[in-house]
Amino acid sequence: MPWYLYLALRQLFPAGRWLGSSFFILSVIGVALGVAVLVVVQSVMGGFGEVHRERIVDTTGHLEVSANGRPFSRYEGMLERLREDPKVAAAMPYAQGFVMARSGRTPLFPQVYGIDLSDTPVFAIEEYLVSGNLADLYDDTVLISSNLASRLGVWVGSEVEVFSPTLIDNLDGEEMVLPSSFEVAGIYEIEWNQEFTPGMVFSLRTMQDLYDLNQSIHGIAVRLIDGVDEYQFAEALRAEYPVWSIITWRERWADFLWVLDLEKTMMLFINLFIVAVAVFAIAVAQLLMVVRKTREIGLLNVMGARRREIPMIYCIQGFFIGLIGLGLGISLAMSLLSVRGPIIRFLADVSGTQDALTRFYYFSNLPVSYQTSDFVIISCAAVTLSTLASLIPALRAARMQPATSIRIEQ
Amino acid sequence: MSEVQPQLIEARDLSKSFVSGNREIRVLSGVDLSLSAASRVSIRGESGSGKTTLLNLLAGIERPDRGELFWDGIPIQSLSAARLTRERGRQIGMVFQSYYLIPELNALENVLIAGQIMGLQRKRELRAAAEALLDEVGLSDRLKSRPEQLSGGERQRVALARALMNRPRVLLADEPTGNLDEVTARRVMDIILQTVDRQDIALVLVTHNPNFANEMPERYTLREGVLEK
Repeated sequence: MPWYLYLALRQLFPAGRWLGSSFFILSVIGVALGVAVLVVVQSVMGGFGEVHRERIVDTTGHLEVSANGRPFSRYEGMLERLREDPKVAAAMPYAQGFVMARSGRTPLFPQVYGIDLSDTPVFAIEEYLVSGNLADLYDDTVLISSNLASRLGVWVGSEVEVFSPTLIDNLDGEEMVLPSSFEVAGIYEIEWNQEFTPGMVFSLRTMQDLYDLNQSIHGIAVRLIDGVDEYQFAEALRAEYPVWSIITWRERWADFLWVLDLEKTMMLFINLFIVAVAVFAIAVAQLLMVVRKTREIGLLNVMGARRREIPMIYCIQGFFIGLIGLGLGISLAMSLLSVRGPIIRFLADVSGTQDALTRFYYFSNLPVSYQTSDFVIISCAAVTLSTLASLIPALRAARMQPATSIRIEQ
Repeated sequence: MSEVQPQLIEARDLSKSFVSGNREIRVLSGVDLSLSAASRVSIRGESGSGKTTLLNLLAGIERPDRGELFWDGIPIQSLSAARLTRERGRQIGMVFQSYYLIPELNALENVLIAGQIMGLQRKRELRAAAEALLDEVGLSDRLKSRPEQLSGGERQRVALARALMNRPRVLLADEPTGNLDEVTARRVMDIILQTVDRQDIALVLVTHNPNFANEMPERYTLREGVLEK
């Protein structure tokens, strides 16, 4: 073992003190806290992102085939081709639009979907039903989101009046417009941004009637089996059917996904300052140590230590502080995240905002996602910053003249 | 005719000044000194007379303003800083009044580190040499003691063992008994003298103690920067 490595470790762990020096303990705690904050924030942000992504796929499928927004009718060939593809888990024709929904005197304008339930559904709506039953969705019933149900004041079994745009378009001024009436067959709660999720789900036939589509649809939603790359699948399909518009969920939601990534990156950037503060504290403490050990540094030089070897003592110490702080920080973060439920409940109880998470984020639990890239970035940042922080004290030590150092306090 | 061996250290006309404010203070003026393996030299002088500066010059820690210094016939002015540092580590051992032990290391480690820095021996040999030196200075039972657990005399003996770790040819001792009581100082001094005799090392002893100074065959006094015999 090189002498400077031995001395660096001995200064961190003096003989008889297995826990390490006070400087070491405090420095490691500083780095560990910074790392813990970074890991917690990145994991929670990653969890938010992952839940958002899952919900998008659950409500839209992996890709959609359409005629650039126009209704189209000759889709059976494409539907059959997709359903026979071994990479496709489900393919489902759909129609979409907006209607005016009313119950009592409250009119609202939700986005609506008409889906074909004759085959495996692409939209995992059944998983999100909080009351009612998907099997009860007929031509005169409707599934409705919990948010819309709440605003309209309806529940399973209630009646909802629906005015479609075509109905309003056909008005000639003399005629009384009669809405279509639907019984609520189920209420779903997607726990995602309600502005992006459909407020009502009809059968495809009902939606075709409401929008005067006859046998036409607006698109085919496709869910792929796990592990299939949707980009590659979409590219192959585009090459096969250049006339169709084929778009993946990532392309459709590119802006939103970019914002999610940006939010996470910015949080990482901002929280890195916490580590930077801890690292500055290390630099200051080491500078003080270099000043305190001026005579020892001079002595090492007198004993034959090369000028480039002395700074290594401090760089090695910074490296080890970063490494051990990183390990402790990750352990602390994982421990905190493993009991995040009780912590969130405690904080919510204390602050009196128990339903805020559900109300604003539509999450019943704090989601967490551990991503290797986050750990690699955080590890590199913590160890590099910690080592770099030692450079200033190390350079000061290297610049010391042995005669001056030895004379101090002599 | 026998070949003339170069002196271990030869100083010719060494001068050194320091600047304090606008004033130049001449500390050493035209110092000549030769050391062979058998040299036992004492240097006395008032505080601030330049004794430590002279030791620093002899050790190559400081550069003289004027004059020449040879180690084994080699002018040290011709050596690079790195080579000078390594040569010093190999040829010169130093003992200071304040011991300068590293507080985080125990006695054995304080001695070992001098050998580790120079890397002239293998790990096992280093450890054996360090233990033998500590045994020689009477500290074989204090190997694991930290400096704070040692008395002043014991600390100075550890410092002496450290100075001898790389088998130097010259020992420069700067008031090694200055912080010790009379009895302990005597004991430390005896150990120093016995060790340099046994290992055939030249000794330069800077001291305020006239008794110790008078025990040396070559005695010098520094007065106003001039080294007088």
